[in-house]
Parts: sequence; structure tokens; C-alpha cells
Amino acid sequence: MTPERASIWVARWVRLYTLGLPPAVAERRREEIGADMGDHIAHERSVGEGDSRIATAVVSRMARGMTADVTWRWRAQPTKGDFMKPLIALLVVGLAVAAVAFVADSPLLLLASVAVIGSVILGVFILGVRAAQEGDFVVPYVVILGAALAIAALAVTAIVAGAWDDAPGLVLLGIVLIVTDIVGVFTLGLRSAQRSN
Amino acid sequence: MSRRRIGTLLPIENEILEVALSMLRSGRPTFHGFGLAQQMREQSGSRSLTAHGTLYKALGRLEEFGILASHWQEDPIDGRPRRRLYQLTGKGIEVAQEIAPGTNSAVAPAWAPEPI
Repeated sequence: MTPERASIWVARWVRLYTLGLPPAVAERRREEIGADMGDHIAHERSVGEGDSRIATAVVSRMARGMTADVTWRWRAQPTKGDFMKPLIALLVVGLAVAAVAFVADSPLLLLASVAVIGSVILGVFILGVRAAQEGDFVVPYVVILGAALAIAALAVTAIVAGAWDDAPGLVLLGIVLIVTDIVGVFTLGLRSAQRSN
Repeated sequence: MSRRRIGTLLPIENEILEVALSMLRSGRPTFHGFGLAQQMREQSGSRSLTAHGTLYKALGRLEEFGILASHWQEDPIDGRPRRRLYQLTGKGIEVAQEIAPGTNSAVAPAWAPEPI
């Protein structure tokens, strides 16, 4: 890959995460990184660095800064609205469906309630991650561990129940929860460690 | 969850201020993103340059706090994209002097950043 090709990839990424921002804010970020990459490539060439190494360095700078880009984007224009109320309403609906499923002994309804409750937990977890990033929270490790264990327990239950009842939907839900768990814990843990330094 | 303690800067922000102050002392009051990343790499002895996202997010925060000011380069060289030039403000110089090694301050700077 040439450095110019790498800089096109970076420019595409910058365009992606600045989409929807006020034009002045987006344009400033695009121009700044464009100028930075131009300087970077020119400097490395002037000291005799090979094109493939320059391209790797440019892509590496993009990749290592992606988390910061996303949190910057979130800070630049946070999503408006209170998400907790609809999530709580959804949780109540999920619990109600679960109760009906229990009374009616309906596996289909039970599956639906697990899906709804799983979505709520997932939503709360994602919101927690975003709030932590947006507000520069330092998350105590015990909270991370507690949330991670709760989600992992739910995921394992879903996978085991799904395998036992031959319900691929439940197994899939369990897998999604585990992946989200790992990503969320990693993100929160990493950021907490950074903030604590 | 506890919010990041007010009055502290992130390590990357401290590093930027230290480098900005050393550049100021060596007669270069303004700097651009890549130049700063290069200086930071040299001073820290690191092999890689600071990532774009990390660098420009930190610069933006320092500007919000009134520690840095910035403007666009007026005459770009050789048709290159214009650079955003940064410099320490009066308040920024004070803060940077507090955190820079070799100054009298033995403790972390008791400075409360408030976005302006």
C-alpha cells in the first residue's frame, strides 16, 4: 500500500465519523488531519523511509486513535433524549411477557421475553459505556466486574437453555451478549485505567 | 461511578503542555499537529507518533479549557493543506510551568479546568 492510498483510507474514516456534525466542526477536523498526514508523509520521505513503512505508520495512527475519534464525535454532538424511560418500559413489557409465558407454559413467549429483557440489558450496558466515555467517568473495577458477571451469567443461561431446548435464537442471543460483554468490559476497563493514570 | 477529578489533566494533555512549553522556550511559540506529535515522539523516545484521534481530541480539550489558542495558517507552503497552528495562552503558560519537570512545583497542579 502506498502512503497516498493509506491517507485516502484515513480521510474516509474521518469523513465517516464527522458525518452529521456542524460543517465548521467537521471541516476543521478533516483539514487538520489532512494537513497532518501531508506533513507526516513528506517528513518520512525526506528522511528516506520506505513507502510501505510510511503507509503502515499512517494507518496505525488512524487505528490507534479510533476510540478517541468516536468519543470526540460523541462529545461534539451527543445524542439528545432520555433513553432510560423507554428502556425501563421495555423491561416491564419483557417481565410481563415472561410472566404470561410462565403461566401459559409457552416456550415461544418465553423466548420472546428473554429477547426483550436481553435487549434491555444490552441497551443499558451500551448506554453505560457511552456515558462513561462522554462524561470521562472512572469506573470502579467492582462495578465493571459486577456488570460483566451479570451479563455473562445471562448469556450462559441463554446458551445452555437454547442448546437444551434446541432454540438457536437463544444461543445466538447468548453469543451476542458475551461478545458485547467482552467489548464493553474491555472499553470501560481500558478507559478507567487511562483515567486513573 | 466517579467522575474524573477536577483539577487534573490527562497524561497526554500534560505531555502536550510540556512539549509546547519547551518549544516556546526554544523560540517556537506556535506549533501544528504533526510537529507536536514529532516533538512528543522525540522527547518520550517512543517509536510511533501519537494517534490522530488521541492528539486532536486532547488539543481540542486544551483549547476548550483556554490553555491553548489556535488559528489557521495564512500562507500554506507549496499548495499543501493549511495547518491549524496552536500556541499556549497566558493561562496555558502558567499551567505548563506548573507541570513541567524542573520547576519548583513538586505536586500535581491544583488547577481546575472549566470549559470556556
